[in-house]
Amino acid sequence: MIDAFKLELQEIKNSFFLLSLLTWIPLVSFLTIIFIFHDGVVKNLPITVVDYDQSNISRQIITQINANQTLHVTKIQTSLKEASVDISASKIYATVVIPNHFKRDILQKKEPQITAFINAQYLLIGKMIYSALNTTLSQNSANIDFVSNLNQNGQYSTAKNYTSPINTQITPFFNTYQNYFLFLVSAIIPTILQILIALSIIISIGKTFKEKKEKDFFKNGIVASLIGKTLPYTLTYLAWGILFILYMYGFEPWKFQGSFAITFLAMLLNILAYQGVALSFFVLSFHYVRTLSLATIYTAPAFAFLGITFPVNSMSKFALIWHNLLPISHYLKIQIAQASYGVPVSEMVPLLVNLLMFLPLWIFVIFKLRQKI
Amino acid sequence: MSFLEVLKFEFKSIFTNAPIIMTIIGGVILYSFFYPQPYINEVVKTLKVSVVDLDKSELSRKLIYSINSTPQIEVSRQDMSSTDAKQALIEKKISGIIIIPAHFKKDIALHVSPTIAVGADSNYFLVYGSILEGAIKSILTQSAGIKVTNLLLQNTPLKMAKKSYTPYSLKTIYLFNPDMSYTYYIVPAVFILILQQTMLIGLGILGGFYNEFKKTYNAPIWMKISSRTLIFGTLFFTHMLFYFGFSFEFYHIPHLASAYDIITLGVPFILATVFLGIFFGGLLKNQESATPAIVLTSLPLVFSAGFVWPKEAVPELITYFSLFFPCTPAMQGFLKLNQMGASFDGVLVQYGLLWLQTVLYLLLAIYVLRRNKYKHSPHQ
Repeated sequence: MIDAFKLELQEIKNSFFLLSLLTWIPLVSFLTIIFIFHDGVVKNLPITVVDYDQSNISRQIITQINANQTLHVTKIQTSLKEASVDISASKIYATVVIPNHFKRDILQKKEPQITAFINAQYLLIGKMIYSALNTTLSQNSANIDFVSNLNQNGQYSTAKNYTSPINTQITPFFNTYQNYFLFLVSAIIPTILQILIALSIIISIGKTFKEKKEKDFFKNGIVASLIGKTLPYTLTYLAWGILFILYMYGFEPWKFQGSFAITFLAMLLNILAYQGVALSFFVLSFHYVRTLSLATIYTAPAFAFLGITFPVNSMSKFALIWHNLLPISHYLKIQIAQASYGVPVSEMVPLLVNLLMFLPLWIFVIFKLRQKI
Repeated sequence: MSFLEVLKFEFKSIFTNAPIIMTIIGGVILYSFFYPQPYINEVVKTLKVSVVDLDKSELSRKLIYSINSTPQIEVSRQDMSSTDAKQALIEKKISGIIIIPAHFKKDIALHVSPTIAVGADSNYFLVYGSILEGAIKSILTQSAGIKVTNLLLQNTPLKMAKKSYTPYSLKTIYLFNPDMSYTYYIVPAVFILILQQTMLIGLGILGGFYNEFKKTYNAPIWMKISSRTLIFGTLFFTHMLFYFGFSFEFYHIPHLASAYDIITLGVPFILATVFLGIFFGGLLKNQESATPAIVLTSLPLVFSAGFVWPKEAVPELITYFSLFFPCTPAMQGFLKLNQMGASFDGVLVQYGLLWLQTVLYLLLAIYVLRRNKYKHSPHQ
């Protein structure tokens, strides 16, 4: 086992490609993703206002929309047509139309309507804009109402209560930071890692067979040699995974709620599961480049099937099966359960069992390798 | 060698290489069915919430009823305490919690505004968003209803009372994707990425293959480039028409652009990608480095293109870097033309950028093939 381990380290040292996959490629990929999402909070999304009213109330509304940090009013436009061209060209994401006689209608209590046209092709951006506009305008509307109640009643607390008899307090459980950085990065980076884990192990074993070194590698028994050969990858990617968790919950301001130990155990099982799958692909044909293509088809689209951006319970049957066939789905559930909820370790057992179910693939790999060598 | 012989030779190299076929034909067709799978059920199903009713008045029951009648939310259970509800949330039996405080009715009667807590699991933002939207809407309607009652108690005529409950309202019109469909959001752009990545992997494996086995043959570089362009160009032009024609129809994705505009933008996209692929393949020492190198760029490219995550929030350095990949202007251009009905004037920047890339990568492709020819030449 030690022999194979040392031999593999030698191989890695001599191969720029393998060395890259273990060192700077994960580093650069992680940093790129962290860099993309680092702001976490989206600010100044460009929108316009078409102000047909041009009153002090409409101007006040524009100022308040602009004061919302998510939104930025780039222009006051005179026609909806002009705005719609800008939306189609993606110069702006939305336009808010304040109708004619808006102020007059408010004073006459005719309840006029402000219309927001929001580009929903960019779904997430559309939702952000809707929520920002809704908050701003309902506050503004309540203020106008409050002032008119105050005028009628002359008493502050009563006026306030007539304006909004029930308050809502929104409590985002668990990801209490309401931050997209935590939410997306903590799923994207493990997704990149699973691609690296699968491809690197195929390259490692593929290279051995391509250079006809398999007799050297497996001379001290298949099982021990296979463990020794894969260990450098297992350990390196485990280190990357741990480093990533420590960065997220040590360096960034989030708090890890649960058990590190169980998360890292799951991480190890996840790595072994991916290696098991990738090696099984390889021993099916012993064809190096073909296996790489197969493993790419398996690992590359994983992000869509994780149930992070799109909930699992709304997926089609096929997608649900595929979701369960990807070890990362089970690993991420454990990571989120530990990081955000601090779920008791005993409740992680079924998920850990799911990961363990991939491990018999190693037996298949050993069996096929025995036949081959 | 004549051009026809070169073309034949390249054709044989490509179509006898199983990994290339798997990628540029198998992969492209498989992905077109595979990738949209998570989203094809479309709308996010009803989300189950638990209500913790600490008031137990007829008013709180009315509120629960109105929450339950919103399309997004089903009140699947009621818990005695928020601890129980939270436990159910952790066990994924529910996706959100609504807590109605004790003395809810009394507080309203006494004109003390009570506070309703709405909670959801924000680790899953789509779930979170819909729950909140539904819950808040119903609560606010309820809130407005109470306001009407209050005004009535003050002897305001009913008609006036109803009208004055809010000074103005907001109406939202969602353009281009009114059902907020995830398929429309993700699939059109990801298709472009798939076309680019499979093209690059295919040409990468091919280039690596030539370099690895030192397969140089005596033919002018322009013949090699034009024959690869002809083969890959024709194939991916067909793929593109298959995606934009058949696949869009298959998933009922709206398509607003004319075939002419799609082709006009598609030609420089395919050319730029083919030349980038020849350049990339020329740099590789062997076949196996192609796939890992390309596949690792996918996620960063998706998230920096500006459709999933706003371009305003992407650091400039990343944006500039992403502009070197044909898929970035192509995704932006095709989304505008085909999903948002922009005129071709609206995509001139992307169109120009794709032609610039075409020229740049053609020059780089010529350079790298020349270098390789020199390196592999037997005189050395």
